[in-house]
Amino acid sequence: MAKGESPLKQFEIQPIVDINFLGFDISFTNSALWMTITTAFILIFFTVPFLKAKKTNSVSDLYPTRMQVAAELGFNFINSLLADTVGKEGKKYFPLVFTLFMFILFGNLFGMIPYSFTFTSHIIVTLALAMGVFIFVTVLGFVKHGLKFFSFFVIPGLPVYMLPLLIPIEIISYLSRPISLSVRLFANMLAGHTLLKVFAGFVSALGFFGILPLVFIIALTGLEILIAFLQAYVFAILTCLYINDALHLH
Amino acid sequence: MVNDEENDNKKPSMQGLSFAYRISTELLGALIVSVVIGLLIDKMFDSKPIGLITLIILGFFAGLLNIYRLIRRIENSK
Repeated sequence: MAKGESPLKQFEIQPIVDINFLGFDISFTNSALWMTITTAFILIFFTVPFLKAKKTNSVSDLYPTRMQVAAELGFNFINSLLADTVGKEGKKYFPLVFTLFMFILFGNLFGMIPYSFTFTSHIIVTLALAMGVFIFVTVLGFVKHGLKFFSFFVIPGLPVYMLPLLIPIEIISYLSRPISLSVRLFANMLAGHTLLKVFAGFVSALGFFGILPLVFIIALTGLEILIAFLQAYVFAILTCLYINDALHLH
Repeated sequence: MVNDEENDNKKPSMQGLSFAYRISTELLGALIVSVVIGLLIDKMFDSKPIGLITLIILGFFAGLLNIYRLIRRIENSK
């Protein structure tokens, strides 16, 4: 860190195009840019291999291309995840879980490219995603069960005199879902990227012995990529579990 | 099929890592929510600091309940 650059500088939001709409600052920032790149990449990743397969009509069509296999791997992964956690009814909610998983996964992975921006390291992004899931699941519960949904907060087989104590606890536990869901993703990304930058600072500061933190950074980068997958997976599996809770109540 | 084999190899380290993060965030999330609700109650009924204290205690138990459910789910899936 020759110029004493803060390891937190990478999380700064810089406007690229200043837009002011009705007094609100809705500038196109570097965060928005990387979200756009992520979305565009996902669209390309899941359309291009299947477009090509349609056009030609030869024997080689029987063998999927590498890109097609990769896309189908992601598809099957979420498909089996939903089948395991929710069951047959889960098929309906596949688009939601799949979109969330892919958006978070590629957001995390693109954040690993040097000089890029990790939008999942901002709590407002992860909280917006988690609140979306939370509101969707709550509305789903009310649509499926009506007012019976409130029985979700009552543990069956409990003595009546325990209810005044346990219902508030259940409600807090329910409300804490979006918080823990968003904080988990945000904290993982923030901590990992800060750690990478801190150790990168040691490399230049230690001169020749900087090779030691450099080796450590290589290992840490691998770990960060694993965490990128893991956090997207955890977000997806928890969304599945919440959908399951809303559908089946207990 | 290949996918399943990969998952089996990764399971121990992946589960351990996600497990540690999940336990801490479950506890933290419940506490954050309960503190916010407690402060709102205090503001509405002007009952500082009884609402906050009650809600923090309830929130702690809610966090423990979250962790209990998480562990039970993992034990069941084994």
